[in-house]
Amino acid sequence: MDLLLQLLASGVVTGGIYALVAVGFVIVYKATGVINFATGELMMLGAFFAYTAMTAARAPFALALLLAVLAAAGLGALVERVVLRPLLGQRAISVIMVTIGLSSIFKGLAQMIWSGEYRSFPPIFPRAPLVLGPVILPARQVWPFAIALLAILVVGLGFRFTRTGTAMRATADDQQAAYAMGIDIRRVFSLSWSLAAVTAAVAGVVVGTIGGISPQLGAIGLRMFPVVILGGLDSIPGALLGGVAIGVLENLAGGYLDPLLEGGGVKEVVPFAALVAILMIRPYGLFGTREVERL
Amino acid sequence: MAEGPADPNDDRAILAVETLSLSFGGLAALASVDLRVLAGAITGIIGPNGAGKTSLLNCISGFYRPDHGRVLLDGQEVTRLPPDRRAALGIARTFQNVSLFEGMTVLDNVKLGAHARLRGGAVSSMLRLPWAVREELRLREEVEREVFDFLEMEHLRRRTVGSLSFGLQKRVDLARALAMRPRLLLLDEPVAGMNEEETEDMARFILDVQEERGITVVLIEHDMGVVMDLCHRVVALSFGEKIAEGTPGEIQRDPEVVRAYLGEAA
Repeated sequence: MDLLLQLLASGVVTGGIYALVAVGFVIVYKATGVINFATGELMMLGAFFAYTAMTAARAPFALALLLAVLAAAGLGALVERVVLRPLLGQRAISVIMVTIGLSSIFKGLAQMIWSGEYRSFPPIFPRAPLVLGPVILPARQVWPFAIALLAILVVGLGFRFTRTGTAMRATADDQQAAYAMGIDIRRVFSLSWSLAAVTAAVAGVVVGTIGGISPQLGAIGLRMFPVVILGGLDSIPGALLGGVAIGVLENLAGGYLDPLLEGGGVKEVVPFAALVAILMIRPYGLFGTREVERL
Repeated sequence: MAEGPADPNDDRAILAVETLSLSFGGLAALASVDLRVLAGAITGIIGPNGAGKTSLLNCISGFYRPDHGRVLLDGQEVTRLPPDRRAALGIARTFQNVSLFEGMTVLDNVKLGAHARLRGGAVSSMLRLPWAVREELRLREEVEREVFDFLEMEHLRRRTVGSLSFGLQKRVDLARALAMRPRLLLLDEPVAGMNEEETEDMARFILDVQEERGITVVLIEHDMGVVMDLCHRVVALSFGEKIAEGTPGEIQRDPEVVRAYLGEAA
């Protein structure tokens, strides 16, 4: 029983971080219809921005996170303006290939700037673990989870209650009508990419504080595909729920099944097995719009 | 209905379209079309299917960019401006097959029409700072008075757009455009797909918009009864060219117009 609770709790914690990555992905998909395969690399770059600010500039963590967020916002807007806007109206597959290309470029750039070496953040969070009855969660997981949750909350509330958020929702709902209402949809596209890069950067930083960073950190971004497929490509609540579900599933599989197999690795496979199953049963996800195309 | 603001020698053109041409892959949708829309009048655009009516409307609202020619609003050239900038200058439009924010309530849809006029920034609206709240309340009152009462749709406020009949959706589309407080309102087939009662309501609303609000209206419509009853001036298009212009009575008797319509039917 204690093991189950422990696994559930760690699953929720991991899932919160997946959810944050997924939210950024969903924002871009909703607003622009682009499937962004470079999400993981945006995480990785965000992590390196914060790492550099902390080590080279000796910035405190909060400031480093803020700098990473600002840099990511700029990078997101730049990518949209330079790479994606000229592709407006092109076929989805071309745009997808371009985001895959972007992910390679980002990885290469990181390799050139920071080398392929594996690095760790300096110690950041207080060491005391969070004890909830039988469940003990290490501080290096609890703090990242709290940060991820806060980021999701800010984005979610902003989307719901601000004017810009309303403009973004309207654009996602009906681009043509939003345009006719006087909403500058190019600005919405640009903001969506900025916001996606920011959420990815925050996620990258928290993942980096847990497990260290290298140019390969972006590989974890692929985990978000089961999340968004489960939740629905165009649903923010879906991203949140999908994130937690996949996180829990992964941890349960790791806790109960991995010890039974000599090689282990069930934990890595289960989310993608779930992905295949979901695509067969409910391709638009739990909360997604039914018309969403299958790729 | 030829009297009033539609005197053809009157020079108060709010909208002027000059030698407008547009083609799609070699197929001419518009061929050197000229048009002057007088302020405060209702102007109808008619023509058989494929005559270029919606293309013309899209060039005026900014969704299409013409190959040649100019669009002037109050004498100021807007040919190169995107739709959102034209909306800010006072052009509002509705869509042939309605283009509403499906998942939102009627109230949210209509408020979005007024959205672009708000000044409060993202931060102040999120923190619910006093001036942002005041602005929001003022907007709410204004929308209630000027749109919901005016279009007799108080009871629809909380309904989700997707749950309404097509006729009511078209009314919401008009409501949202009115919430923009436009000077020029473009209506793409406002009564298409409506039953008789809905058509009568819509026609009455369009007349009220022009008479009580003084908004200039340009409408595309196939329902000749509505066109003849509402419009001060009518422009007929066929195969991308303007073939006639005049009062409804003149247009009905115009041999070119008769031929265009009979030609289509034959």
